[in-house]
Amino acid sequence: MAQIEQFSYDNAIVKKFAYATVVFGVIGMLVGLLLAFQLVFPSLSFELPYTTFGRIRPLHTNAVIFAFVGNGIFMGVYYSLQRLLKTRMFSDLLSNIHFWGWQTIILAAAISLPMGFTSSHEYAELEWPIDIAIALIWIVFGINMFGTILKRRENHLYVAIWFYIATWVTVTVLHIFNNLEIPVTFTKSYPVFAGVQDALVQWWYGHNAVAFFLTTPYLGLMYYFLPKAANRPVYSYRLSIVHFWALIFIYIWAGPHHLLYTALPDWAQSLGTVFSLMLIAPSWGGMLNGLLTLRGAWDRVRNDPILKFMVVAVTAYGMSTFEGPMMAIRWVNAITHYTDWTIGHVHIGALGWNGMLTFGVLYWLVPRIFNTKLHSVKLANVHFWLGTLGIIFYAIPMYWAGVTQQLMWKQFSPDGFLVYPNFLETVTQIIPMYAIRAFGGLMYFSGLILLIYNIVKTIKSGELVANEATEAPARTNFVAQGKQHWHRWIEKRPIQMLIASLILILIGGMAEIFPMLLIDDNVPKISTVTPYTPLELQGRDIYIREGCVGCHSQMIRPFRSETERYGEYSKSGEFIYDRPFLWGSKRTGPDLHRIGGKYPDSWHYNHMLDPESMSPGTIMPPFSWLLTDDLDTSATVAKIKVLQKLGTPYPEGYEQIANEDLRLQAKIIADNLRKDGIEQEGLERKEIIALIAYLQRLGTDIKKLSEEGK
Amino acid sequence: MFKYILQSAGDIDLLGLILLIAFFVFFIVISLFVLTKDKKYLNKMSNLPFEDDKDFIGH
Repeated sequence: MAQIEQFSYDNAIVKKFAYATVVFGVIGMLVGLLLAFQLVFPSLSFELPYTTFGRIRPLHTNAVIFAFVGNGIFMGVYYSLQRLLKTRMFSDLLSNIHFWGWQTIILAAAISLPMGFTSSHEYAELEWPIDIAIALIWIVFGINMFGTILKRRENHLYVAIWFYIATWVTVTVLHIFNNLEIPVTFTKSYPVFAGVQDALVQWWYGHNAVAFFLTTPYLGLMYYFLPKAANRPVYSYRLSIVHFWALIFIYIWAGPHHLLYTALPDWAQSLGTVFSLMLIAPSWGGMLNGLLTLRGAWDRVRNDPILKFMVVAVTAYGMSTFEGPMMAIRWVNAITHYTDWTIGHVHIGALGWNGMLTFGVLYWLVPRIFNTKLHSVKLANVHFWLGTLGIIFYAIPMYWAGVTQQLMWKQFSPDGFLVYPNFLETVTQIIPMYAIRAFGGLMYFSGLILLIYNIVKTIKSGELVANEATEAPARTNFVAQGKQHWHRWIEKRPIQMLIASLILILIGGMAEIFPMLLIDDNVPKISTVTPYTPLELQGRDIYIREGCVGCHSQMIRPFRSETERYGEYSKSGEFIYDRPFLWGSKRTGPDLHRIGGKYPDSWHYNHMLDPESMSPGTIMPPFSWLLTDDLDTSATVAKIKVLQKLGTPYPEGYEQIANEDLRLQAKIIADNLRKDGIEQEGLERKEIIALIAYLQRLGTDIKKLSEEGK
Repeated sequence: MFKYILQSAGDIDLLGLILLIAFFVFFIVISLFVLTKDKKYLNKMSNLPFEDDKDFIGH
């Protein structure tokens, strides 16, 4: 007979993560609101470098994903893991290092991103010193979680824990491979991969960040908190086993659906499409399991706001996991890519699935760890409606805007000319939709404010049970008797689970990425494509710093509507020296891949100083500091050397004369500007010169092919 | 219509076919494994979240 052991659950750490979740929910969503309103009122960039759309977009995405959802994950995991395993966390010290370490990383992100320290890889923008910190804290979390699993009193691992294990191992792999970079300075690095390979690695990561940071941990939370809130076990444990394995295997392959109709090889695109479609099944397995858990209990859903939040969350999960695969079909993607539809899709998942489930968990969990009742059920209901309506007012304008804009891009007159040759016209049309979306976000945010009021009142009415006393029988080591080997297999499960998950998730990544790295034919070379000059390189890094990739793409798709508007469609061989790739995901402004030579140097000068002067009615903010700030050439040598190491064919010893070449090229551009009447002290030394050099180079290499033929 | 969707998936080639079949086999194996699991075990697992409830009555 096993001995009963007394111990306590650590609620103090759950409280810490809960507070952090709420605080960063506010901050992340406020930044989101600012972005939304900037598109309607461009003056909201305040003419400062730190607050332009390009710089704060990654602040918003990182804050809501890693600070809001991240802390939400940890809040839920630390609460549920202890209780499912009937043991306290492995180490209180590690719990606190994890918590404070994570918040410090968030602080570093909040400072570094507006300053323009970015790798430009979406949802992995943080530069290399912070990447190392993330790895260290993630390992701390892993040790704490696995230590707890190994010292558990409950032998069996509930399904939620498998999701936590798969999350941990996959995020580790993703983080490592998408952040393989060589430092140039303390705040700047170049990725190991270039062009098409970089794009594939980024979107293998990007989609799996959605899968294994936004989905699997929250499915784990759903499997614990939904049954707890409904007081009924999950509908089908069998289904949870099947959809877990199917989900983690299939999800990894879906990444290329972000790259349809781009220069990524066709076979990789097709794999992305097919696996995205297959993904509907396991995703809906999860959704159905959640919703059917409430079968026969729908009258309780009507009266309990926590269950309402969870139902909307799971429904939104089902919606976006149907919509996503649809958007992964080529002919649907042709309409949705680069438009606001993508943003609409993201926010169904983010606001609906992640947001609403987080709120449901908070309303359920906070009263319990403070040993009290929720202050106001009525307010929670009001929050529920504000949240749900907010999502609708967010998504529907985005769908409308997306379709409108893409159809305008594609519209030809009967004579075969573009009906809307001026890109700006397609933006102006959808600004009313941006306004409605901002209103939707405001609604959703106001619901969060209600939550804060409600939760604070709740906390004040109770007292934290920092260490919740409990007891459970010690774990028995099974003696050989009949069912022996079955039990022992389960006991070893966490390690097997870890290894099996790891193998499964590696298959997809390897199958898609290795051929890109090893088979040269996948990226046909173009003879006239040469490396960027030092000045152009500096200009490119300024483009990255300012976050231009947030609004401008550099990937012309093989559609007549695009070749008429932008020029020859983009070939994979043109990007072989692009570190990082800058294909972009959204066209709030026009594609820039063939902007080189389209406008005179002075046009770019005036456009950066005051976009309105060159494009009346534009929503692009001014970048006037580029004209007054001197270009920092101290890192040129380091940049050239790192790129040489990574395979860019600069001649040996070129780094010694790189800055000379830079100054010669700068003089030419400055002279061009003076010819057009631009007078400025020290013009040659300004950052704008570098940016102009880069922009004028874009897309021009393949034009040299036709010149060679003459 | 389904043919159109599959066609637009593009050139899948041998790798895609092998993987599709491999996944399908894996899926069948997992399903069989799961369908042969005994009811009592599944019941116990589904009720794990409730075992720490002090006032839990049981289902």
